[in-house]
Amino acid sequence: MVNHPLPTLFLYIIVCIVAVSLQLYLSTNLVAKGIVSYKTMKTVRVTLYSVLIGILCALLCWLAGSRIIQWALLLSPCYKLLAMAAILVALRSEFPSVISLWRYALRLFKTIRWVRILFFLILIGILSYLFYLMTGDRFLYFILLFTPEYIHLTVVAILTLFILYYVQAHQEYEVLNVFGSVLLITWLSVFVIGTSVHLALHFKLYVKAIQLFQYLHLVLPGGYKALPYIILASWIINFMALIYVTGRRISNILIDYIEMKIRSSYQEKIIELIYDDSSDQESSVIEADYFKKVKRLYFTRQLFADELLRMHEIVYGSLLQRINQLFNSLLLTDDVRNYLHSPRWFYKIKGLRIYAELGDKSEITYIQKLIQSKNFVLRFEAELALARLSDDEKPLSYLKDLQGRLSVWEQLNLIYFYTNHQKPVGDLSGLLESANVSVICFGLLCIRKFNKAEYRSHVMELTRHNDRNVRNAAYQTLELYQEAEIGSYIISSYEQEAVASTQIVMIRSLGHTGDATAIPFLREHILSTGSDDITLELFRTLILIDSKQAYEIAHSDYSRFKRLYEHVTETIQ
Amino acid sequence: MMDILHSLFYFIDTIIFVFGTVILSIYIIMGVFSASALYRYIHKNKFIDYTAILSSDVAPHVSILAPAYNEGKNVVDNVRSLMSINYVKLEIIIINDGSTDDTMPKLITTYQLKPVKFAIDYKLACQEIRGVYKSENKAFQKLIVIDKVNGGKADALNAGINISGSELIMSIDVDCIIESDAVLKMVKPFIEETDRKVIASGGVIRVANNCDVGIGKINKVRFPNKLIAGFQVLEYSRAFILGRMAWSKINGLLLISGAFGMFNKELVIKVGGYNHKTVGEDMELVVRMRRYMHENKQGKYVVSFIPDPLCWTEVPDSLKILGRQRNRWTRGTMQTLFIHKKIFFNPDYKLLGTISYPYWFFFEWLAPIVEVLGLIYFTFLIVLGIVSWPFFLTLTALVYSIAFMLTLFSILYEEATFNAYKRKTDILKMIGLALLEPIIYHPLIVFWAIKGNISYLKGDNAWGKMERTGFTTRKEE
Repeated sequence: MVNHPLPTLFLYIIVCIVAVSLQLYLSTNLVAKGIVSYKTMKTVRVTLYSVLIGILCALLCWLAGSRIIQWALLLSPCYKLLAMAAILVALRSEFPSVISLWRYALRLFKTIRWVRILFFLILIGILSYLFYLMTGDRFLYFILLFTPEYIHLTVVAILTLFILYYVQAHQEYEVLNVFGSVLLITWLSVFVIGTSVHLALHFKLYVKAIQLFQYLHLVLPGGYKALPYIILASWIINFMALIYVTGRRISNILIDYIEMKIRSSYQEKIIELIYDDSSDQESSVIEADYFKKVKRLYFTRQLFADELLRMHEIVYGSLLQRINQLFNSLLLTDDVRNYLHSPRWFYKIKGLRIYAELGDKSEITYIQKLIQSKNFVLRFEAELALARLSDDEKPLSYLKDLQGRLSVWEQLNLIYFYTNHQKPVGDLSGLLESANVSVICFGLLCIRKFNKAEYRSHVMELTRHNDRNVRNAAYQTLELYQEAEIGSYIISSYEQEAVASTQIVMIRSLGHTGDATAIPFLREHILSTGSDDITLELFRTLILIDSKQAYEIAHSDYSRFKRLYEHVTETIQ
Repeated sequence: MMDILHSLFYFIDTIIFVFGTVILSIYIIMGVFSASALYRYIHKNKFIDYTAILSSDVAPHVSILAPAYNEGKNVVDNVRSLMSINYVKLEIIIINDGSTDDTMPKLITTYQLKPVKFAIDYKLACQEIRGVYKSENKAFQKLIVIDKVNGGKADALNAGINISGSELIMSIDVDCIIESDAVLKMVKPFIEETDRKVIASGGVIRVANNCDVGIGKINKVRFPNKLIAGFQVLEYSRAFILGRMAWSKINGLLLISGAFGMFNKELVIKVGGYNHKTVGEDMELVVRMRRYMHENKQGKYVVSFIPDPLCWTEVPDSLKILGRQRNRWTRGTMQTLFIHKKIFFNPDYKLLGTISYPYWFFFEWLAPIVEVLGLIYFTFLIVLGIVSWPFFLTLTALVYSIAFMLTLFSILYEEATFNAYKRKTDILKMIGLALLEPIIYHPLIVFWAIKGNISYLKGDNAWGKMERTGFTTRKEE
């Protein structure tokens, strides 16, 4: 190895100064402002990067090969101790005496498991160093090299612990757990990486690895020479996946927690804003200041918008207008427009929901185009948005020209929307005249659900439609009209109907008319029909109209009738 | 002569290498497809309000069919959990398949059952139904219990279909724990498709061993303590999240688990119901349904798959029981493949014949056989002293690396999507087991697959006794 003591030492010291300055700044920032802000993620990342940079520089210095660097490495815990001293000075109000500090440290040791783990790791490092000093055993040399890093990271851990326990007074336990996890994982990762690198350097494993690759390149036949590189690539992918898995878990916990805290503060602020009628200049200045911070970042704007919308769903009257004003003044409408016109469908949906909630019809033309989208979810959300934004006379008129099939899912959600929001479905005649069979069925469903008796003639006409599903829906809708005339109509149409499932629907509708004149028809068909399914339905209907008649037939000579009759009576609840 | 031998060895080497490369490439492609499918599903689900289905009378009727044979230990709790499923138009049909223990008496007493005169229409052949029971208590009006002569799981399900009055049937194992919103989520594909007919829908089955189980529900998810069960967590994760999600994306899914699947009842009846003659009745039914759609030109159809963790089951945690299970699965696969051999590489069956079936044939059935033959061939080469050790070690390292990568990606998908295992140690355990799996668990699976092949050739058609310890309720930590 080449000996370059002075430049590398100088470089290392520069990096250490930068790293410790960063950490001091961040630590005091945390102490001063608390951890509860979105910045915390950045803080964690910067802290980790500064630690890693320090270690990388230490490795570079080691590669440079100077013995002086070994002592330089020992400097790294010293600057950490300096940083700790600085923090303690800042915390002096919390720990007025050394004894209280000592008791506090003891309490940390007793109560937190990973503090004990870290402590024992340091102990191992120190003992290894002492062992080396006593015996001069080169085998432990790599542990010696790593000992400064043990101390380095431990000091960082203890430092952060003090800060966190200061914040613990505000009961930020979740953040404490996350920080602990971050530090422990950093520690373990550095330990694994550091030890591996030191071993690799010490035993010149990198040379051996290169030799192995060269050997395999010679030995492996033809096209198989790429295999070692594929193996290496797969392990790099594995390593990155591992980091992603562990990192994601930690960041998700922290982000969820931070989001929860921010949302809670925004909820309070919004309530304060919308119920505050005063036009105090000072408060508008404070507001402007507050909103500057909210507007600055997309993350905070998004959270604020979500909370505004949540409030929008539950308030009425002038409060709604106030919320709309806030939306505009915060330029959140720009974000919403961007959502709607985003190439990503799930952002479009977000935009649709916001426009629908705010009752903003400015993009209604664009939304109408979206109901022809091939993306089922987007199309459906556009339908719901249009349902809210369309005029009250014919809110569902846009469905008349729908090109694809209107699925059951869409139908029941539209029904649910109108029921939940108690909005009128308006004129349904357009739906009943549509060329789209599923739209006609939906129209008939709306008639049934919302008791729209005025479409009787339409419904009766649709019982003669050439599509079986439309006929089924039409006959089912006739249940709404409990009139004798309907009963006669069904009876007269029955013979012309060839499809068994439609016949069953017709018989069921007949039962709802309660028309006693249907009894001969029912008796006749019970005796003549061979199908058990139809006979069961006939019995159900007859029992509804006149149970005595049903009983008589059941106890006639034909045992089949008794079996079916008993099935109906014993399974009706 | 030596030249001929060398050519022969080279040929065999190439076959094995190509087979291995193809199978690994397929798994990697499946990984990519499943990522895309999961991404879309997760985003789509953010906007779903299942309350709409719950309160709608347009939602389809569903019958849950749960065959029970000697389930006296847990049947009352399991039925209770089924009764608390969140769905309005539901009937729960428990089919007592000739139990010799106290399954039936317990059900009658607990749920105040009385026999009803039910007009049974035997649309599907099944053993004699001795009686149909309903509860006198209106609180249990959803429950129907069938008492029948023992005929096996397929027979019991057919009996349940004969009694069912719903459009959709959901077959489950009575000892599985079903999430309360399972039916809502499984029904959705049937009602949201517009261009294609949904004929069946499957869901993910999770491992419930060592989980904190309340009365018929999972209170807290924990990673299994036992190694064997732990390996199965990884296996199920790969099979469901990586494998079936990918197949579902290209509409090539051939298998929906018998423990948790929903079907279009009308179509099931048309194809003749579950097959009594096979131990893999779940896969055989799906293949038969798919065939029917092609042969009768019934138009576009889809077999859907839901990646949400909706069903939890106790997996075997002893080698003996696991061996029996894997033996049966192998025999079931073989029976299904040979019953439907007509569709093999048959373009009339489109994706089913050209991709799905061949995949199952070569890479689910033949793969363990090729692996064992490869091992024998390798031993032969060692004896002859002509093994290229660097080549062998490089290949082994390659296979191991990619196997670990695939398992890691299934763990990653699990972490990124449903994140059932929340404890930090669970993730570490999964990663640790992923490293050990190719060395410890995989050889066992291959061994049992070979045994399954031998059992099939011997004509063994038994289910084998599956002993369960039952879910134990643990105290919260």
